[in-house]
Order: sequence, then structure tokens, then C-alpha cells
Amino acid sequence: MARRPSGRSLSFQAAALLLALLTLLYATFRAGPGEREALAAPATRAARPAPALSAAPPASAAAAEAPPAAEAKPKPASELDAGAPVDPIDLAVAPNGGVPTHPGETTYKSPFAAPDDKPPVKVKVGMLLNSIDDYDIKTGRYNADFFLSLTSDVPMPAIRLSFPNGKVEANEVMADKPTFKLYRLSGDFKSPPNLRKYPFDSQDLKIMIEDDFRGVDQLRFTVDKERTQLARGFRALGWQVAYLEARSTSQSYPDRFENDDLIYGRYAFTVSLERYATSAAFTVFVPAFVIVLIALLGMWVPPGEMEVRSNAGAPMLAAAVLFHFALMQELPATSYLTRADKLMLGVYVSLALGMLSTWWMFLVEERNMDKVFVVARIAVPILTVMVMAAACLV
Amino acid sequence: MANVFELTVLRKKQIMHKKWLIAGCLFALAALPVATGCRAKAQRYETKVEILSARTMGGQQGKAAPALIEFEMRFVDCPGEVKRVVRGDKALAACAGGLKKGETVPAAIDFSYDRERENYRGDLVKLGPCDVKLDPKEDANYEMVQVCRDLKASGVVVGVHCDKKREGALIEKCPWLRRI
Repeated sequence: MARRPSGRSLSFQAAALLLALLTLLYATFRAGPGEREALAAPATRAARPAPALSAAPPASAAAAEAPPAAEAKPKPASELDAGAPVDPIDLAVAPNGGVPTHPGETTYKSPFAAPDDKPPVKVKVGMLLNSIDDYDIKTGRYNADFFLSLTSDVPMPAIRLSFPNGKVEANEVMADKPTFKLYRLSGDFKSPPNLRKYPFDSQDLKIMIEDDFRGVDQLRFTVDKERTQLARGFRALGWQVAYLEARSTSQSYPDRFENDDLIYGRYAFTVSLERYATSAAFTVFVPAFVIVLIALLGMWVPPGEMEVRSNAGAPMLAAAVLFHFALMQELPATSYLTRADKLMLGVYVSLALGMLSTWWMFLVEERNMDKVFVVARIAVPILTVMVMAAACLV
Repeated sequence: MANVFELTVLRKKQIMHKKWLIAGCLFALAALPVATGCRAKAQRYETKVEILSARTMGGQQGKAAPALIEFEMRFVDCPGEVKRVVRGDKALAACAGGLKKGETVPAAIDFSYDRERENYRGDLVKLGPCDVKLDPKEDANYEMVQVCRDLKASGVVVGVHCDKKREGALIEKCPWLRRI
């Protein structure tokens, strides 16, 4: 004679299933779309137009955006600009008011463009990354400490470096010569994390550098291939380095004023960090599979012990929900499912299969319970394997 | 009588089971050191290195023998850029002091599992005609491994991409670079 479960047990099961469904919905819709895109938007350059509109060099605004070198050693404009004695904007005129332009034919109409057709100064950028610290995957922020070298064949114009994806907090000017500059810089930077493959994810941490005032007609950054490297003993805790990349690109902005057609050069250094696979597997995959395996043991509880069988899945469901919640706490909101989310979906479906098989036994007549027991004992493990395989591979 | 017979059979079965258990344990105990011993045994690889720089330290204007010697070398058989900086003692300085920049010499690497660091490592044990015994605690010893290629956009070279992972053709060609 099979023992029927109590009403309390049934309500407990129903509550657990409802909790699982709510968690699935939460996992699916927990992020609003567009969050990633917001991080990827071009950096605002609020300070740039302000000095450009003024005829006299605005000391305070320049200081706010100026590179560490300029902050450390303020110099007169004539000394700062080895190639051109004054900024191009100072040579632009506005006879009819409005945005000043350069008289004569120039490649760009912007007042920040070079007033003549002199070729741009090519600056080779070298980067030695000392360390990456305090990487927070939730915000995408990290602290980077690095050496930056700028080398050119001809004297460089005044360089006013800016960092579109971060802020330099500590700096040391180690050399400041017309054709060679060396800085040691340290600051906080930000790169949007890509968590689609979490926990087997790799993150690209970038350090982007621009000159704040000079476009590609005056200054071009090129990559110093021989001097793009990591310091000896470089370590990023919990991560291994997959690759380094440095590239020079150009960046244009939507019109901020009339004739805003100048393109700005950009140097982008990327270090790609990869999570250790063993650690990822043990922290995410092993607990999930243990939950499923323990729940599956309930399939071998005979129909005579329905109370035990019906309660076998519920604690595992609670464990799965808590585990999933703990995982989500470590990550930022995303508009997509991570690999870990898909795995947990597989776990929920597997647990639901076990619970459904038990409920099936309640629905059939007592004489058919043994048949259901045999069918469930074969079908549920097979279906579970298929579901978990799909959750891992999709 | 029958009960006594059944008990005897049961007892025999228990004894046999115990024997198998003891034999299994003994086998495991015997196999463990053999297995770990096999793993710890170093595998030797012969290769060639190009001396990129050589400098001695500690000699007194050529009168006294140098106390240290430091080489920067490149593994010519490995794809990409595989460099190693090694600092040797007086014995190495005396033996390998004649090696000059640009010279390519044979080298031997002992590849083994380092239990302390829990990864594999390749130790340079021979450089040219000299035996090398490096101090594992010496911070100056350093290895750099990367395979770089040009980054192109619209057919124009815009930068450089350097793979740092030790896998694929690199490990096939130079197995001693493997770490896990």
C-alpha cells in the first residue's frame, strides 16, 4: 500500500516550483537592454570645446584636461609647442562671427585643424604594463600602472594626453624632450565586461590614449611594436594573460559645432585576461552537477515511500536557487544569458523533470504507480543528461 | 552440520575479500611512488639558442674572475619570440664567458613537473659546452614567450597582436614551454 503525501508536502512542492519559475523569469529579464551599449558610447569630451572658443589659452580648462606632464611642469605656450608656436585655433579667424576658420585651403575646416599643409608628426607609442590591480568584473573597473613612451623623428607639438576610458591619478614625467617623452602613469580605467561565456570568460582590458586638441593632420600615433609588452612578473590575480594588442585608430565625433570635421588619432592598448578554466569549472559546474545528481537519486525511491520521494527534489531546488543567486551577485546585470545562467536553466529543468515524475504518480491510479516508477526511473535520467548536455553546449 | 558448513564458506569468502583488499592497498602503495616518480623524472630536450647579450659582473678590471654572468638568449627553433634571461654563477662565468653576442649555440633543457609550483617547467641545464646550474631563487632569471603578428585594418597595418598563451604550434615545436 503506497503512502499518499500530506497536503502540507504538496503545498511545499508547489511553492518550490513557483520559486523556481520566478527565478527563471528573474534570470531572463534581470537586465534592461542597452546597458552594455551605454558603456561602449564614446567618451564625452566636455572640456575640449571650452578652450577652443577662447582666443587666449585658458589655463584652468587646459589644466583640467592636460596630461600629467603639463600639470607637473607648466610652461609658456612657446616652449610647450616645439613644432608650432601657437595652437591652430589661435590662427583661425571669424570675420563674420561664429566659429573661426583658417583662411586659405586646408584639409579640415575645423578651427583646431592645422592652418597649413605640413605633414603630421608621427609619434611611436610604446607601452609597458606593470600591473593590473583591483579588477572588478561587476563595474569593469581596474587600476593600471604602466610606462608610456612617445618617440618621434621630428620635434613633437605640445602633447596633451587624455584617456577616454579612464582617469590618470598618479604620474611621473621621466623624460620630456622634443622627440622623446617617457611617463610612468597609474590610474583607474574601465572596460565593459563580456560575460557571455562566464565562467569561461576572457576580458579585454583597454587603455586608450588620445591627444586632446590635435587631430590626425598634426599628430599621428603609431604602435611601437618592439616596445609593447608586459613587465617581468606581471600577474593579474585569478586570471592568465591570453594576448596583448596595441593599435592606432582614429576617432571622429558627431558635430559639436559648425565645421567640426577634424578626426583625432587614438592609441588603444588591450590586455586580454582569461579566467583559469579549472577554477571556473570547480566553482560553477561542479556544484550544479552535484545538485542534479542528488536530485536524481530520488528516482530510485520506490512508490511506497512517496513522502520521501516527493521531498527529494525540493531541498535541491532551494539549493539551486541559492547557488544561482550567489552567482548573480558576483556579476553585473546583462542583457543576455551567460553560460552559467544557461547551466542553471538546465538544472531547474532537470529538477522539474524529477518533480513532474513524482506528481505523475499522484495522478495515476495506485495499481499503475509501479509502471510510472519504472518509466520515470529510466526516462528522467536520460532526459536530464540530454538537458544538461544542451545547457552546457548551447 | 549444514550451518557450520555455511559459516565456514562465509568465513572463507570474508578472508578472500580481505586478502583482495589488502592486495589492492599494497598495490596502490607500491604504484604511488612509481607513478609520482615517473612524473617527476625530467625529460631532456636538445635545442639551439642565439645569444642576444652577455655580460659579466663582479670581476675587478679583468684581474679577478667574474662572480656572475648574465645571458639573454633566444630559442631559434621556437616559433614567435621565446627569450630567456639567465644569471649564472662563477663556474658558468668561467666556462661560458667566451660566448659572444649573435652566436648560436646548442642548449639542453630538462623538462619536469614542479610540485611546489604545481606546474611544469623547463630548466636550462646545458649552454654550449657548459653545464648550467641556475639558482631557482634568483629573480633575474626570466622567460618571455609570445607569438606576435601585425594587426591589419582595410589592408593597412595598424598595430600588433601578441599571443601569450603557450599552446598549438609553439608547444608542438618546443614542448618544454608547456606549463600545465
